[in-house]
Amino acid sequence: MAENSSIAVIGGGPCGMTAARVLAEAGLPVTMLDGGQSLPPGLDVPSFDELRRRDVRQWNHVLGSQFQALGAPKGTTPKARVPHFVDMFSRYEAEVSPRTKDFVLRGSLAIGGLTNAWGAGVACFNDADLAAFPVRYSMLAESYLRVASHIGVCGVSDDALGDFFGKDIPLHAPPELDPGAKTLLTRYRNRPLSAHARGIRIGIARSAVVTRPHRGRDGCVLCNLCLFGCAKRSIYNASFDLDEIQAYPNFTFIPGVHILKLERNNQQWQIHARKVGSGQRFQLTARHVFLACGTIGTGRIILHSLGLANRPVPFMSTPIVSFALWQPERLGSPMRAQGFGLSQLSFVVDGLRGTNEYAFGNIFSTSGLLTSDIIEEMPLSRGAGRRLAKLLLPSMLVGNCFFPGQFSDHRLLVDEDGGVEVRGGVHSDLKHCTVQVRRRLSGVFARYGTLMLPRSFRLWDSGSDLHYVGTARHSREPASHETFPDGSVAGLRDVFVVDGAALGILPSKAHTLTLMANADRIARAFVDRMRRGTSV
Amino acid sequence: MTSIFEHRIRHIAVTGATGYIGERLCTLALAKGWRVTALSRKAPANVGISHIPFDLTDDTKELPMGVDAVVHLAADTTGETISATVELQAALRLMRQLGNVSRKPFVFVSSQSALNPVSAYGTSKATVEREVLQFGGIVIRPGLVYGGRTRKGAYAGLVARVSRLRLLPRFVPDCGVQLIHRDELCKGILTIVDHGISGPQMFCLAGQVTSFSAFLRDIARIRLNRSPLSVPVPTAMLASGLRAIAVLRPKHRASASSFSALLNSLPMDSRDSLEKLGLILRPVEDGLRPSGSGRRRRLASEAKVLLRYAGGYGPGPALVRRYIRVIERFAGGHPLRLGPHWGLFPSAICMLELRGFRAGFKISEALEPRLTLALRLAELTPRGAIAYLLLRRRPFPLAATHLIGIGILEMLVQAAKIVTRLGLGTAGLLGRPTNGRK
Repeated sequence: MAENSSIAVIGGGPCGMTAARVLAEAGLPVTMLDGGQSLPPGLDVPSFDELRRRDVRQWNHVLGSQFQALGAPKGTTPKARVPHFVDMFSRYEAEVSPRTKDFVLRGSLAIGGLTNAWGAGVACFNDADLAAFPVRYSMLAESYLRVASHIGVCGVSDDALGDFFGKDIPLHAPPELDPGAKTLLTRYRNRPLSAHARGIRIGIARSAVVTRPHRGRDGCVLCNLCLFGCAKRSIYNASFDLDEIQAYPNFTFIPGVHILKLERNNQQWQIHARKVGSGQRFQLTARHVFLACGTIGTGRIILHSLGLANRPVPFMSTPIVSFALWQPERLGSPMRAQGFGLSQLSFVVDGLRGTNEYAFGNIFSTSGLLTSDIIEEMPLSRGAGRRLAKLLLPSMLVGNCFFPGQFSDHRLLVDEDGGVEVRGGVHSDLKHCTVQVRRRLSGVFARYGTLMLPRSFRLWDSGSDLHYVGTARHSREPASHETFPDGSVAGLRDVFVVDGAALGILPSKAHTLTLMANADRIARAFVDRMRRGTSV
Repeated sequence: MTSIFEHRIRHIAVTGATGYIGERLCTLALAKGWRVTALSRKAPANVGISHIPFDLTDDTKELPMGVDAVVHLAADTTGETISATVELQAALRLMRQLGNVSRKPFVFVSSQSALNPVSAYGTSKATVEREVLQFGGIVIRPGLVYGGRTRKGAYAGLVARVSRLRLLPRFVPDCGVQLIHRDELCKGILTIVDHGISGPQMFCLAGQVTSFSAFLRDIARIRLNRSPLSVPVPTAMLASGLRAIAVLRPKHRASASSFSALLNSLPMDSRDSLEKLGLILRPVEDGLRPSGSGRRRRLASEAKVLLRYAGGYGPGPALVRRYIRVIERFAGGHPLRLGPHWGLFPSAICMLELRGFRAGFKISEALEPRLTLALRLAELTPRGAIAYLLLRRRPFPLAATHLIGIGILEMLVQAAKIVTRLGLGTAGLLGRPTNGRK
């Protein structure tokens, strides 16, 4: 690696890949360091329906050959119980060994980061969302456009949520809706005032999924295997970018490493790293460092490099609830063979706490789920539960709802050896707010023939959402561990943060696209400065 | 009876140490940390056993110094008739060499057929028995010894025979046998030696009289995993068959004659002997498995009941095996103590669940995670897809009726649980132990 101008991008998730692509395209010498775990591309079966009806080895795919999925902690999302995600999360756990209190910490050392296991929700933040942030929409607009065109986004721009999601990005047509979702949406569109009177809007979800061939990826075929990893590559996964970026001769990829800290040495950064698994230590040198290992990882590296041991740094996440819906008129409908496992519809619940805060949620089909998940939740004996769930499931929908970051109150600490501790907390208003939202949602949905099942509305543990942000937030007057709007860390010269750690605000809207746009913005500004020869 | 604290048995000598019973006895004695000297013609396979080449006709060999006990298993298995006299002389020699049998047990393993000797085999055994008892030693009369995986011994011969038969005989009138698992016999022998039990004493070690034909069927079913058909066969044919073997196949003569001796034996009462040695015999179904234990069998029955209840369909063998694998992997492989009658009516498991009203059975806590497992495993098969997924449209009125029906049934189940709980509670109040399943 050339000494003077080299750039190390730490973390190969969506933000790291975005930044690396910009830097590599510009001809700068870039080395990407990543945990490097490779995950299997997804199941080699035609569809979930085929898997269930015909595959005698389906238990192997769903539970793992060593039944590892059965060992996964209860109360995690169905996706997190898929065997190779269990492996991914446990590998992270083994390598990072975080201590947690009232917090569910999950991370990924796989290429592509958390896009291996994400719900693919995307949205643009508008100026109202960005109000308390030193970055304006105008600074992100071009980046949103570029990133969205690159990853491929599906949705509609002319429904009740068109403005909410942002109108200025190109869209594929969304996948065909589940009949239940279609019923709900149609009813809403026929009588939207019932919902609007309660501050609720419903629209088609916007996801980073392509429904026609896009840059070498196939369009979604409704095989309903989303939760197992999309083998068709219709769902965006940052690992797809690696092949493209590796074509640049000035780009080097070093997998299988875990970064411990950065040490200043003359005008260079000494990157202290260790090999994942073996623990063998080694070092690399770079002039500039772009940190993109996720809020916890980036925060850890910064705090440890600054020597700020045992100093709690606040960060946020979006508290999440889930619930089950049932449409009685559709009772008796069979389970469909085709389907789409990610969000079908989205909704917004305005005016939380009487302010312009809002909750954001999604509606999912039940066709890609395992019936036993639902049966376990029912307060009936399992025999009866099975018969009931079999009958009800096809006419049910499942929903989740995120609350803005202001309702969370977490702390990240790093100890002298660089070990991570996370303490979770929630705002005292959260409980009350969730009750309000539940009432509003169940009232509105009921008017559209969709009943919220009693006792199904459930708040998840802090951290289950995996939407952590803000350990190194952008600020006009940042503390030493925080960043300037151009991404540079106040206390670490030539180090930039391009991932969720930089986000100082967290509306309940999906934020990954915004993070990627921010990474694009920061990287481009950096390239401009390099070209102009101005020092950073 | 002298206590084990006075006698620290360290060194036993075993004749016939390479035989069916002997090899297992040596293994178990070694496992106890004892020193074993084998007196046999061939060297024993176990590592760590001293060997003295020994033959029943041999009068040159001496017992090693410091032997604390002798277990005399060696008997004629060759085909040459070793006369009763030779056997007797061999036994006497050993006893004299052992010396003081009131401190050092001499255990002679005889046979049930010595009870009423009608064959040369039985007579020979009976003669030696008398001398041993006169000398002050200990005699064990085992029934038909079975179990383990081996090519030696009468049991192995029986297994081999059954495996070659397409049809099993069902003897009319049936012969009785009294069975004892090889491990249990060895355990009994070791207990006698360990406790320094002094003679003269006779121990009859065997189970209750059971049907020989049923035993053959069990061998086929459990040991060989077959279910051949049975044909009635007059017992007389068996007897003449065995006599024919004894004549035509000299090699098998001893087995054949010991076998026919056993079948002609009178029943022996073993209760006292078993009690004295603290032996509780395992069920034959368990003993016939190569592992000798019924753990897997119990796990399999548990799997069948829970999977049938949770999934609503009879599980195939692969699904049952999967359940067992998971329990072995995550729960130490311990079966629940579910009685056998749950298999008749698996739906009744709903009474044990912690859903809704708790009926108060102790087993419910341990049952819950296993039911969750069964529910999940039963779903993940093609048959499970049919059971768990509505694959064809059902007309609304039918579906609604079904829904209401499920609701009503569930209410009845919960009501039944309440009644059961009251019943259990009342029993407790009245001072009777509650009928909680452990």
